[in-house]
Amino acid sequence: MNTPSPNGFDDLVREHQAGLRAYIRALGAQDAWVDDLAQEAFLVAYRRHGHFEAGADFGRWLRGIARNLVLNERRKSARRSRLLQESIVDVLSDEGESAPVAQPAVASVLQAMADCVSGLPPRSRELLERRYAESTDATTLARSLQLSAAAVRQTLVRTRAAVRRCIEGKLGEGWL
Amino acid sequence: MNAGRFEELLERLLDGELTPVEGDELAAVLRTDPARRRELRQHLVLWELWSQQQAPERSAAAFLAGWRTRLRAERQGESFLAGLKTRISRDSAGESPLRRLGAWWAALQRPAGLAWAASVALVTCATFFWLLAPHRAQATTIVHGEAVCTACVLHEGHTHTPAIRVQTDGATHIYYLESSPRLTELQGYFCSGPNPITVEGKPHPAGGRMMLDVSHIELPPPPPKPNDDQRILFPL
Repeated sequence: MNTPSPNGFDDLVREHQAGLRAYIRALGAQDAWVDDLAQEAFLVAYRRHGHFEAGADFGRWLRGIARNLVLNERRKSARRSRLLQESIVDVLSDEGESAPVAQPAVASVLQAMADCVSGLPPRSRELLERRYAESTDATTLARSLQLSAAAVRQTLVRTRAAVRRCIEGKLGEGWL
Repeated sequence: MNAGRFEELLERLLDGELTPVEGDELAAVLRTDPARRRELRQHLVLWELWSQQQAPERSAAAFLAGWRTRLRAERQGESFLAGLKTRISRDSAGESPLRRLGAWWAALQRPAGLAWAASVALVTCATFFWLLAPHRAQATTIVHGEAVCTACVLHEGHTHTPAIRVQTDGATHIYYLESSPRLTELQGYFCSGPNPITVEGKPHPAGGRMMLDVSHIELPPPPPKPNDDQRILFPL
């Protein structure tokens, strides 16, 4: 297969980026480095596009590349690693191949998530939105909301757990 | 491990606050308990997808723009390297290795050659230490928004810091720009804001703020100056 033009490859990046980033995070990448590793995986896929067999599952091929990048990353020293702690990554990446985030699931997970979050009490919803929209940690959030850090953490624990249970209720236990 | 302790460790992992000892404690449970392993994976996937939806610098468009920037940089690097290789092979064609080594040694005896060798050694060392250091920013992203100054426009304090305000779905996000000579030149543009701006850079949280290491700035073209016949003349 010929190397596609960057414009032609844009559609593939657009289609697969959300699921690939989620997959890389689930393999044990640190949140701040997920996008970096995902962009690297797309660069490798672009360079090696000739190795991709027409008609095969592009998402699966891409996840294979990402998994290799994560495994290579695991060999680096902890100080330079873009991954979570080695013992956690070992557990997550061992299972990563057998439990990929299937591409079609992304849209339904996002829809279920939007429904579940909209059903939360306003305070919990606000906390969740600010935590992720502003990439703010619990201590900073607590300061700006004039609450204790422990109270913010506790609310986040309960909110995240409630959202996960709600999604499981909508999509079934085996959604991932 | 009881459910409370597991939740506590899970939260600390999701918030990036897990210590190595806690990490080992959590890993030991995950190894033996598939249900908790699945729960962790579900949380990682869910909050990753949620973060992509919520943070403008992590949107699909920002990710795509970042990928294109890296691809462009890689291609420019490749063409530079190809050009250099062509020049080297042309310059050294027909030379024996021994003669080439002699030429290198002669060049090093000259003061300019010595200075050149010293600079190469310095750059190599700098690169080595840079590679050893932990990287502080995530992937490149592109942010479209309004150029504002933290003092003149946002009135956050007396320090004039250039920032970008992005408004999406009723939410406002502020990116504080790391200082650079180019931004100092443009301080007037930020103080007279809000003005349109597009920047390319690497975001990273610091001190409760989202900072942006800017690598490229794009401002809209200035409005055209009126021609003589279009000028408005005031009667004296």
